[in-house]
Amino acid sequence: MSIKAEEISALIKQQLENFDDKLKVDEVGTVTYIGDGIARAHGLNNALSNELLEFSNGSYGIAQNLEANDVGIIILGKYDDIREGDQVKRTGKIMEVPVGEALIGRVVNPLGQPVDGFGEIKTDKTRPIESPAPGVMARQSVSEPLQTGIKAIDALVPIGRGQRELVIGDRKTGKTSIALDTIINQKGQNIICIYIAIGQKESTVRAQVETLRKFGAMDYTIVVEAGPSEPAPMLYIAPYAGTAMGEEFMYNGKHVLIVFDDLSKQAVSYREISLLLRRPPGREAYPGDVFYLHSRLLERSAKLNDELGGGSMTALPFIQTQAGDISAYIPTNVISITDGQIFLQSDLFFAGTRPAINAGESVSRVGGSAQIKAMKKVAGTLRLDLASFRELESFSQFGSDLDSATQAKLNRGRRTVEVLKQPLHQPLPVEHQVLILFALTRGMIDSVPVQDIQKFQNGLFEFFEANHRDLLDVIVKTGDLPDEDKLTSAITEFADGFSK
Amino acid sequence: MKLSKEDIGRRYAIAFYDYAVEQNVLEDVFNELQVLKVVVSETPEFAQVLTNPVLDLTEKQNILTLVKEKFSVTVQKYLQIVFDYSRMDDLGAIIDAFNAKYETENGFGHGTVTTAVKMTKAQMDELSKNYAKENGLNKFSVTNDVDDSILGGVVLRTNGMVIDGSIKTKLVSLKASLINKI
Repeated sequence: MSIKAEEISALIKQQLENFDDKLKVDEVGTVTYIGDGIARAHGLNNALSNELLEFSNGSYGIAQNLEANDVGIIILGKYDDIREGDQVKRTGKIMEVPVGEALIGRVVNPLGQPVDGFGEIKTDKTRPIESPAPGVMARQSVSEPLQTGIKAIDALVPIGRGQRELVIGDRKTGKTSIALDTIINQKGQNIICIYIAIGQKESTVRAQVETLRKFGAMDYTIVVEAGPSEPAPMLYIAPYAGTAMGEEFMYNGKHVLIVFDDLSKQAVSYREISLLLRRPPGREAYPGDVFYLHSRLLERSAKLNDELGGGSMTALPFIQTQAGDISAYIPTNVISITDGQIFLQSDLFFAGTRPAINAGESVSRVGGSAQIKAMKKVAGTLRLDLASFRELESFSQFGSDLDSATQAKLNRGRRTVEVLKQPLHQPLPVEHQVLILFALTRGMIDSVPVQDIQKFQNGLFEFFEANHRDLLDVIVKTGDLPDEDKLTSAITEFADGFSK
Repeated sequence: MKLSKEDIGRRYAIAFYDYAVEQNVLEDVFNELQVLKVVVSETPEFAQVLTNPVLDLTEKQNILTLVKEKFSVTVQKYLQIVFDYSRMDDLGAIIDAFNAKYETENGFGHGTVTTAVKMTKAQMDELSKNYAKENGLNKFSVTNDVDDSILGGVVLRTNGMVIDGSIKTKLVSLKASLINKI
């Protein structure tokens, strides 16, 4: 196709005719201090709180402290070529990020700019990163399950759509693996996932993105990445930016899963910003509003009522503890904000119980009502069984003469622990989970040796897929258990074959 | 926490301004303070010496007496108070705050105009008259800055505002709009 010169000339002429030749009026201030991602500027008398400001080098900043003589600004992006005496301009806007379908499958920074090298993100919709959470009347209680595909979670600490479930544990206890497995399991569930990596090593994030891509999970996932080499303000705004992206889907009636990995690092970067802005430090040198930092973020995850489309945003905030101490400042704060927690323990992890979920200290305050009936029936007593097993186990180490009832309990306990183990990146569909838990709680695998349980489980799934898919379909369709006699006889049929 | 110079300046200036208005000597005081400001900014040692705790108080008092003689009674009293509270070091900030108060109370304004070629007196008068009328000020004074990189037009900077009518900015935005739409 050839382009005619006259056409271009006509186009330019038209542009020139429409060119807006007005005077440019800006409100400006002068930078008086610069350093560590923070600037102070004199002037800007009419600046709003949280207003976006533009520096003369093209970087943007957010007005944080509005004081009598100057404005404290956090800088988003490059600040090493901003000098004292430079101009900083008001934009009259509140910080916004691009949102919408175009972001799905992309890796972006907290400003919504792509960092995956797949080119520009074409969307004209934006949302402010800070926005009020839905009010009391805009919500409804959590009722639909969010299947993580992890037996130990779906059975013991079930998560519902719109719930906020804290994942807490020391470093290297498998927190991120839980997130990745959960995201992988959302395939075909009509859920959009947002994974926000805050201060995670860039190499780790890269590996995680590759894992998600390998399992086809990037087709419904947005990754927001704020690396440790970026200035603290970027880490601070990352969860808010991610939530804004999620809200766009939630308010359009869709379901969203959002993972904040992790909020302790965000709290640390907020502490850094606050100290540099000379806000008074409180406990552990965190500023006074560090509770509000997390509460206003997590309140935005909700299950909306039907008039608003019934969308939901399920949040999995992560907190890293030091030496298993969940009574430190940030962990207790976030525990009190969320609807329950999944506590991961390093000694369980190293003992081979993976996922290393501590059943005693993990709870889900609202998820129970979101469990499907079949799961409720098979998992009802599981938590108590597991707790009494842990108790008995420590006693039984003292003597060998145990009565048969105790022996049976110990037997069952060992098998429960074994059944709840699950390899990495192999989430199970809910009907399989119900099946194996049914077999466990009805005592049908009490005779299987502990070391053979994984093999038994895999065999059972294959056997049912091949011979009794109809029974599994009943669970999927009705959410309830199929005829228990039929189920029992089918499992016994397999167990007999297995023991031979 | 230590008060900033601006905070101190504002406190002392407001008190002095109100006192001067009550005594009906505002204009005289204002003019005298402009002289004092020149002294303070050209010889910073003056204020430093008077607040230096190492020096003898009577000696400092003698220096102050020598200087303040030349001013009116009101300013003399005031300088003595500022000296007694050892705020001579902040005198510059106090005068700045006083001037700012004087300007806002009387509807005066000041700005800097950047042009590519030097403005004539008539042009400057015209501009200040129009700006004052537009913004409801009683008087607006301008100083002229020459910067040929703006190519043409004027850029007016005043009190945290930039009104940009330069050819350079227009060309930049024209370029942006052509690139965006084509």
